[in-house]
Amino acid sequence: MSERRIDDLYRAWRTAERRDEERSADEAFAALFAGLPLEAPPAGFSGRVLALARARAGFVPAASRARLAAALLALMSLGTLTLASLVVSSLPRLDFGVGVRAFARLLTFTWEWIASGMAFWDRMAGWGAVVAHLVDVPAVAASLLAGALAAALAFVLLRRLLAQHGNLTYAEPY
Amino acid sequence: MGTTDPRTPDAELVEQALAGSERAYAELLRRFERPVYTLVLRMVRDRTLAEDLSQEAFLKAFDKLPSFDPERKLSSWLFKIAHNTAIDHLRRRGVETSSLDEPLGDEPEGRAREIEDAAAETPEAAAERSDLSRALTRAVERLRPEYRQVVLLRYQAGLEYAEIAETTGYPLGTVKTYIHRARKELAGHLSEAGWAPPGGAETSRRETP
Repeated sequence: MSERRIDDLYRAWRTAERRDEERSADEAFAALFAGLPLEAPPAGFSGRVLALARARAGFVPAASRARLAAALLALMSLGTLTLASLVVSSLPRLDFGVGVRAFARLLTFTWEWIASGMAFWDRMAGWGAVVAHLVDVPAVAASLLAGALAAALAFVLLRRLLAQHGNLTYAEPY
Repeated sequence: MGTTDPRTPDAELVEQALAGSERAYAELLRRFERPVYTLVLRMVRDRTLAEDLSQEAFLKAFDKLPSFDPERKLSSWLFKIAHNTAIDHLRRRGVETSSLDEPLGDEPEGRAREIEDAAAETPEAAAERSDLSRALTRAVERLRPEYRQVVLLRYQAGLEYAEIAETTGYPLGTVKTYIHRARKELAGHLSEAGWAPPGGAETSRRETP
């Protein structure tokens, strides 16, 4: 911006301000302000920002993404082909009887596993029934309720104590 | 890494950046590093802090780039992010963005830098312009924080009144009032510094001692 230009803008702004011409003052000041020199950040600023953005995986070049996708696709194709060829080559050597026995063993194992789970839940249900009978007795129910209330009160008290000492600081042990 | 055409529109650059072009990011930085850094520096008045905050602002902007609306002006969007980053930092640190009497930029590297057509100016003209620039910069720094904030958003970031209201949280009427009063105050500061209004008893130029 030349000397004449900045001088003109300054005059225009001050004149508009004196005359209370809001719009003109605003425009002239905006033009004057636009002529203020900009500060340059320290050398290497943009390089550092780019490096940080790259480290944060903010952007991956399109070519790199394409290469990565192609490599993954190739790897998956290779894996599928290898697996398929292995299955095909081992098919003639498979014994039907061995397959049936393995399947039967798998079924037995699964059944045993389900049965043990059922037994566990049966035992739990038995205990539940016992507790239900006990709670049915008024004295037991009252004592359980009292216990629950006492526990709740203890928790409230503990929380207040912790809040009162909330400014505790952590110190390194060494 | 090659270069991106400096004439490429901002919106197109954003598209290229979103497609993963590092050149586009580099060009965005080249275009906006000075305006963003200057805005933050004038807000926080500390070069090291301004560098950190500008860096943070650019990283945030890059993260948010997919949400940028190409119908909007990229510079305004970036300035808003930079402004909010600086304000958040100042609030976190409880630092008051008060005006200070000691102006920023008296150190050699802080001296006013020449702009585009500086090469065409005579040394005297450049010095004169630099004087007024410095006086105006100092006057802005002397403004109270709220005034400085709206002045920078209006005249440096080029935001509309409504955008300033949205960014700062001030009501629209308050923004207009602050800007009006801030300009009056700046005129006063400049008069005190010897830059008298035209048509007055003094000349519009400060006399060289």
